Amino acid sequence: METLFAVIIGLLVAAGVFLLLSRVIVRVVLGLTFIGYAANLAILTVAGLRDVSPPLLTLPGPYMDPLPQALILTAIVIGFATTALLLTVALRAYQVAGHDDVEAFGDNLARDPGAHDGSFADPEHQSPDRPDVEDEESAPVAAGSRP
Amino acid sequence: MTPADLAWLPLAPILTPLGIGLLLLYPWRRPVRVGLALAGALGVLVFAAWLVAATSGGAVLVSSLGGWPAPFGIVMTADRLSAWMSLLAAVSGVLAVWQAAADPDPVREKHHLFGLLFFLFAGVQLSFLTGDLFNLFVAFEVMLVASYALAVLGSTREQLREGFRYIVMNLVASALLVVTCGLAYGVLGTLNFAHLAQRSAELGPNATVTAVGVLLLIVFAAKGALFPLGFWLPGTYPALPPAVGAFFAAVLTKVGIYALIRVFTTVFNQDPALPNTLLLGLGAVTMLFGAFGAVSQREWRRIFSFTVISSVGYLAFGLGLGTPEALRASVAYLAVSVLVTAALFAIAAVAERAAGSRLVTVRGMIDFLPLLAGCFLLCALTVAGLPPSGGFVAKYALVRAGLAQGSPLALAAVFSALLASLILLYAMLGVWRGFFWGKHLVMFPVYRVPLPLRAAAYAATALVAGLTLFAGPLLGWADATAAELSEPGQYIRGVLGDEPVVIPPPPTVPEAP
Repeated sequence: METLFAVIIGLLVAAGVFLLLSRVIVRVVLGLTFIGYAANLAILTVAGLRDVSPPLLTLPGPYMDPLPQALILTAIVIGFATTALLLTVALRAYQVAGHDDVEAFGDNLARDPGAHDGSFADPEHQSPDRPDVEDEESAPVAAGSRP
Repeated sequence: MTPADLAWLPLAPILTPLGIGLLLLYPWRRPVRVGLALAGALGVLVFAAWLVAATSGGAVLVSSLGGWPAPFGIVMTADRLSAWMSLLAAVSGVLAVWQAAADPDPVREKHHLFGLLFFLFAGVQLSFLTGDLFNLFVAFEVMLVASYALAVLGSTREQLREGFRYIVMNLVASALLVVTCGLAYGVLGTLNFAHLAQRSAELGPNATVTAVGVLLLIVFAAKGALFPLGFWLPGTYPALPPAVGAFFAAVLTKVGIYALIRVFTTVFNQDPALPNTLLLGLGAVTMLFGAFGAVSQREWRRIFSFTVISSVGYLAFGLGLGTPEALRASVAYLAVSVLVTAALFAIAAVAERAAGSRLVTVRGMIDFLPLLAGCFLLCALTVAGLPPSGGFVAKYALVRAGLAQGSPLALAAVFSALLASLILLYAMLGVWRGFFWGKHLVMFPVYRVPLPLRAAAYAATALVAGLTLFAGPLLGWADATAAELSEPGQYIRGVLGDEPVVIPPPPTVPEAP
């Protein structure tokens, strides 16, 4: 039984990681939920998969430990909330960009994607040995965080 | 006042922001809302200071939720370290609310910026004051859900991109934390910190327990932005609104560090070799990564985000040395790091507003903001760890502890710490040269910054200066904290009482009537 559960948990995590590495935002969200399910199953397995009574005093013992199931319930509730929040972010990205590839977010790593060859890698940084010249081409970019 | 009389106190810093956050969801007019938020933040500060005073004698305050005694129910515990972290978080919280109040942002405030900020405070305080591993996960989630919402509030494209990255990264770490909680319960049969510590001490050095500890280390390294797992941080913090970003930068990574300290000094302290080696190595790389990153950036808050990463590296290094002196230096450096980060982000907010640009290459602003230049210089010296600043005191203690420990890895980490400090100094001087020094060009306008916003930066810098003036008491407090942490017996007795924990036998079947 434990072996079966271990295999299932491994498959869920593998599927989750595979989806997490996708470029489609919704698949990333699905991958995270898969990993969450695997975590819940792992707690259940660690608590022991024995054939014993539920913890009700009217039944004969030995009893099952109810605590891991309480942990799983908590984790499910929290996972639900975070997934909902992540989906709203994904939806908003889709509204902003019109498609649900991670490209919707743009990329800030390329400083100046339109730069032609031979230009400085970092035009707004002058080398320390250049004086305070007035011929700076690049005016500072206005902070775009606030209209 | 005995610890039993003050049993309610560890709950106060958690419930106050929670209640105020709920109140702030009602659409008050702005003055009412700001007044409520400031009062709430100051209330948390009062309770946190009271906690520090109450635990300063070495007492461990315990409040059991629902009246269930320690190993069976969830307990809130406050020892010196928890109270100390709670106070630092409360101070940063007051500064963050002050900046948010001084910098009106109608759109975000309409969508509950203040309310979310207070839920974030509640989550942070809960993580510092909880005495239960699974409840720590819940606290992380409360804190993180609020921070996710704050990260994407406003929906600029930059915020969405960075927020998405931040959320996905933290959700993966949280899933790992849930699994680790389950494993810890499977191995030791309990989740209460004190009880876990007791049982792992009974087991002695045990490979399974060490494995659980290393899993926890990975989770907290992701939350605390240690080197390979901290890639999300430098993008996320600059995308936030300035006031919120200041709190994030000052406190959120330190929550991960606090959890590392708590887990590896109080709970799983039987077999420290592997976690300490990992922490030393990761810390040494993280400091350099942060320092080089700070040199590579040209925007205020990006530079300071990298200094945050660097400070996390120093803390991991201090924790990985594993000696009481190193722990003492780390606790002192925690305070330095939190306050100086809050101050730097407050200064960055003022500077960005004044120059109308996020870039530091504006030149000549010392003519317009002389006092801010002085503030920045003090904070820069603190970050780089030069005298006469509190940063020097704490880093000197760290380096001395590293040299005293003397293993090859520790010596390499000491070298890395000194090199990183030098590089950070270069980065800070770059900011100084680019922003304050030189001749201001007429074509760049200089905007007026409202006085309350500037006052927040000055107040934060005054706190950083206070670290220097009160370095003696600070290190004394850190000394007592480290001594308490190296003797977990006191914490365990404070939570579980002097009697051994008796697990009642399973009930027998009642007779059929």
